[in-house]
Amino acid sequence: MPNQTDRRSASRYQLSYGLLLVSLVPCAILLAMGLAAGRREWVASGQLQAKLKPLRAAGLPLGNAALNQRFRDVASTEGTAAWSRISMLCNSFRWQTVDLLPIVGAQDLPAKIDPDAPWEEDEPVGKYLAAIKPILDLIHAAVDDPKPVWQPIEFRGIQTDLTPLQNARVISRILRLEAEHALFHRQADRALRAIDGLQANAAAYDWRLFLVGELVHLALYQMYLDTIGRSLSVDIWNQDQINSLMARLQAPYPVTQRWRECLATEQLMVIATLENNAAAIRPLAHLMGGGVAGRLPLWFTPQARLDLYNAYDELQSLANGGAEQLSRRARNWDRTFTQKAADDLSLQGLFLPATQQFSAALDRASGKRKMTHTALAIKYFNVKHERWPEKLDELVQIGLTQTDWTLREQGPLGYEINETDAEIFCYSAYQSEQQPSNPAVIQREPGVAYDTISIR
Amino acid sequence: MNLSPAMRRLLWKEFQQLTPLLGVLLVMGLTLHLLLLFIPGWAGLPERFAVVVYGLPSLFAVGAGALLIGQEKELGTLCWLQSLPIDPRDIVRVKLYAALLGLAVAWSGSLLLGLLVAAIDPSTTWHQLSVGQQRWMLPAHALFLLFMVFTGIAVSWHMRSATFSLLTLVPVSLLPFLAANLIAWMAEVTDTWLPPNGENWLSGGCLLLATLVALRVGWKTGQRALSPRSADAQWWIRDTRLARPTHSAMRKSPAAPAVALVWQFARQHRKLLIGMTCILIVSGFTLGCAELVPRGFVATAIFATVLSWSWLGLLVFQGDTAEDRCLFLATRGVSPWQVWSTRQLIPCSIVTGSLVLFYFGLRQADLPINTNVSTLGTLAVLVFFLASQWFGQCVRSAIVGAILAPLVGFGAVAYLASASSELPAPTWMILIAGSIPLLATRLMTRRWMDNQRSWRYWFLHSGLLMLFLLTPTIPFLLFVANYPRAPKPLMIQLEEIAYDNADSERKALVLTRNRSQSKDRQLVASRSERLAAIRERLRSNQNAVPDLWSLKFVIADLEVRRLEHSVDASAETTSEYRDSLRLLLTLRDRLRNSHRLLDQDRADAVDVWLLAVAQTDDAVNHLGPQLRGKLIRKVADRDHRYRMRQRAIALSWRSAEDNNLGGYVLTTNPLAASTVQSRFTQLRNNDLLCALLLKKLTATPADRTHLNQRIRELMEAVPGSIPARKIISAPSADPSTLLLDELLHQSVPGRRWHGDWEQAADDLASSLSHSANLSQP
Repeated sequence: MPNQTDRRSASRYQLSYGLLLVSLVPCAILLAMGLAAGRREWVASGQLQAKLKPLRAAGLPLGNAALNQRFRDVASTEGTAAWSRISMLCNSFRWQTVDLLPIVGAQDLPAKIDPDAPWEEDEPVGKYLAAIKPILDLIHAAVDDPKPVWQPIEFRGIQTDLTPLQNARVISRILRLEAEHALFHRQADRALRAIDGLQANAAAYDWRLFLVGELVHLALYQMYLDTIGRSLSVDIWNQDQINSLMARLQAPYPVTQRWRECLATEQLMVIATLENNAAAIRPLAHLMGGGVAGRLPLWFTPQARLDLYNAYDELQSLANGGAEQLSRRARNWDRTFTQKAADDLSLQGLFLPATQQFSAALDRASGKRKMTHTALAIKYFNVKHERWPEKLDELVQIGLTQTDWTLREQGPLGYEINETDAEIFCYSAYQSEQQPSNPAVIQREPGVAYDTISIR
Repeated sequence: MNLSPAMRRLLWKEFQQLTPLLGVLLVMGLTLHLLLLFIPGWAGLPERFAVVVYGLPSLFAVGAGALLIGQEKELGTLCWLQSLPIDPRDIVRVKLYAALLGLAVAWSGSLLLGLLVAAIDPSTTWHQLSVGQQRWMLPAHALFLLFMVFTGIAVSWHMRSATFSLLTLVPVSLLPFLAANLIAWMAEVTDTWLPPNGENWLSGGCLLLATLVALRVGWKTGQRALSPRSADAQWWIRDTRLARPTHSAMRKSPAAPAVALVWQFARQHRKLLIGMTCILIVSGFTLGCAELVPRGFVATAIFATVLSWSWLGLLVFQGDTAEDRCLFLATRGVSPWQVWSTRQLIPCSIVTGSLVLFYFGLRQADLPINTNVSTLGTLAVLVFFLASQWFGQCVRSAIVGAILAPLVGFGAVAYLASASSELPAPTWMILIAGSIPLLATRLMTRRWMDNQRSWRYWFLHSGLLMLFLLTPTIPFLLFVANYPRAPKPLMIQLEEIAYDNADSERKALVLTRNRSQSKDRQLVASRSERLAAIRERLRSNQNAVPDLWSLKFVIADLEVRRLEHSVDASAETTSEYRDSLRLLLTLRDRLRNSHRLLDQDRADAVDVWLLAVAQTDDAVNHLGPQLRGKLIRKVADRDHRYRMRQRAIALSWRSAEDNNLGGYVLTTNPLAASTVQSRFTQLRNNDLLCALLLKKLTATPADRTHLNQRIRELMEAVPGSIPARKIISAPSADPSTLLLDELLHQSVPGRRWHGDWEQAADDLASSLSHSANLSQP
């Protein structure tokens, strides 16, 4: 029978081993975590290289070189000199009072073009347009050049200088001012020429490269649509001219194709930046919300790069479901991503473009095309039958289908016939202080903002 | 203070005990001041010195009590002191005086160091340095110091060991602030009105009260401890565990060596380990309930957690340094490896456990904790813990160790973090450097156990410290060594040209648009008015160089006039065209004579455009022979162009800033110029670019292709990387001279040098002089 001292000794012995085990467990966990993290990065590095391997094996360029080649493939150099000259002249040939004019300056446009009412800016606008007439003639001479037009861009990942692209906005603004002035003076041919210029400018800079390029193109394209829409508030077009304008807007806007192309190029550009400029991005990461951690190398681990690459793949695959629900899918994806990013702010948060806003912009452009096309169809119906269609359904008689006047998110366009004109409208999502009671059905409600095209 | 000679000697002896701490603190203060003074980018933060000015006396106040009393208890000298025929009250009084004297020395030394910094650094005033805008700062800090000294003394009279008294001082010193916080919180909960700055007054009041209480308690406890006492009071004489703790622990421990050593470590430090575990648990839960507890509790919890991590690190080896316990193990043949690993185990487990608790606590407190932050945080804590361990192995005094270990830990973490972000060192190198403290403690365990303190011991520690400091810098040093240098002869040539042209060097005044917002200002209402404005500004300042907008406008005006002229070729339009062209020639001359590289290239662009104008079929008609001749002669003046380019290279090189070389911005992303490596590459690239441009001026056509490629690479180089090591090269866009928008867009210096246009200009000039000769009789 063991005595009391032996029992105490045995119990101390067991206690000691217990203490040793308890102490070892956290250390073992820490070691296991470190090993797991190391293995994760190792595997991620291999996976990323595997994804890039087919591109490398095929001898396809990566990064900036890929962008350069892609740009050369899609754009023509035939009109390069002409459009370079136009861009320089439009952006440089201005003086201080030009800043006070509408569209090209800070002045607001009247809500509608009314040739019968005085327009305060008529004279200064006329003088400015007279002074730049040689430039407008240059634009009209370049309308038939093959498009899009190549411009000398030095691709440097996300640091690429896109000044020539941004300068294209000024060309469209000048042309839009020319169209407004022509419509005010009921000069249909001059207005149509300006619209041709607007279309040509949007096409010349439709580079289909990266998000900034897409957004600039969308802005140019919408300026072109806006000008056509506003032109309908003046009764100047004949049947042939309306037909010509309708034919231009017949084809649906290629939302899914643009979505894929844009994100594929963004993916290439980000690879270029990560391969070449990781050191340069660290301070950026620091400023963009990474805090001190952003300046440290954990943001640029193989796993972070792989996650970013995969995120672009995921985004591109959103277009597989078609254009109908793309905006909603992008919104859902963005929401999920934001929730995830709140827990784990990483390289993706830094680089991923504003995809939700991009899908919304694509949706808006697509909707605006439908609205302008429908407005032109109503005008065509009016000229042909000498009356307004009672309902939009009557547009079937001139070859339109229900989908032509139905917006993806809001449903069929609103339509009203007034004493002097007809109006089509939809909700203006970004200008409205009050949300419509039923966003899926367009109807007039007080306090809600609308995008309206007035047709005379 | 009227002291007898014996008391004076006693005071001197007590003060002598404080001198090592005072010395270490003052040297550390001086080092920190110097570091803060010369850290680039911190020049705009004069308040940074306040941390040192106020921090040093605070550290002294923390350690004074433990040094004066705790250390004497551990060494047994208090017993000797007690045996002297001195009234216990006198001993207590003298210790108090010595502490106050030491505090005065620490305080005045710290202020003197601050004044020295204010004298050296012209941008720092004493007012900024002492945070003078906070009027309460000085009196509040003085009161806090007194409180810390008195509390330290009182706690040390109570406690058995110096280390334990230091540990106890932390929560005790926070009590008045927590009490003030609690009162303020209760006032807030019960909607009781508090005057403005009420919380400050509350804290001050609580601190004052606590200071008086600490003084009283310290005085009474000291007398009691030194007076004729019961047997229980003489614990430090008879406590066998304190006298031979390891022996006692080993005797009771089980047989297996590793387990026995863990058991012995746990027994030996059980109070400290339990105390710090409790602190960490309470802190973790406080953070978890951050919304429910007063604000000050959260900060206290974070502070206590960090301090506990450091002290756990210190305990790994420091615990056995005291009273040569490590020697006891060495003499019994215990393996250094076993000692090293078993000492690590328990503190490491506590730190790991607390990290988990801390992580969840911070997440609960709604602080931005994500994977990156938590991974980095874990690594930082480990480095902090390991650095504290290493320090604990080096220092003998538990008090000095306890005071300085958190600073050493912070220093190690800050050094690795700055090496990672500033140099920037690769992750794997940081990980290696971070594990050097672990390696160092392992390598030095045998010598530490043998209680070696020879020069060889310190030499090895210094070597390992140098290894720790140098490891993260190795990639940067290799980078610097490998980075291409500009050839020496070219640099000497640049120096000579800059020296020769020193008289002509002037600051170019760039002619910018008038953007004044004055209401009386007349707006430029037409093209002719804008041209007149440009002429006027050129006339009013002979050093003015045209800006890009003015230059573009004049060229655009000429293009539009030319288009108009093709429709209406009247005398009036011709005259206007020629006036504009004369203005452009003036702009061109200003650009050509400028000392900036960018202006030289703009002058080239204008020359290309002028040459194209002069080459048109009807140039003679719309320019007139005289103006055309003048234009061609200017464009074809090779000698002048060469001299001006050469001068511009040298003067741009001399006045180059980080990323600005003669008007060229070397990187499109100014944020990238923030690391040491990127700043180095930018400066070196400036030299290289200027040397290459100088070489290009006289290069043969065969060499130019290579030079152009190299110049382009340098312009595209990402700061902080070697251009030739780029993985993916970006083929450059075609440098066409036919594109008007591109013509005036300068991205690479010297792009149009030796272009075909120069030869075309020479040919045109030759044909002009030939026809002039022919026309002469």
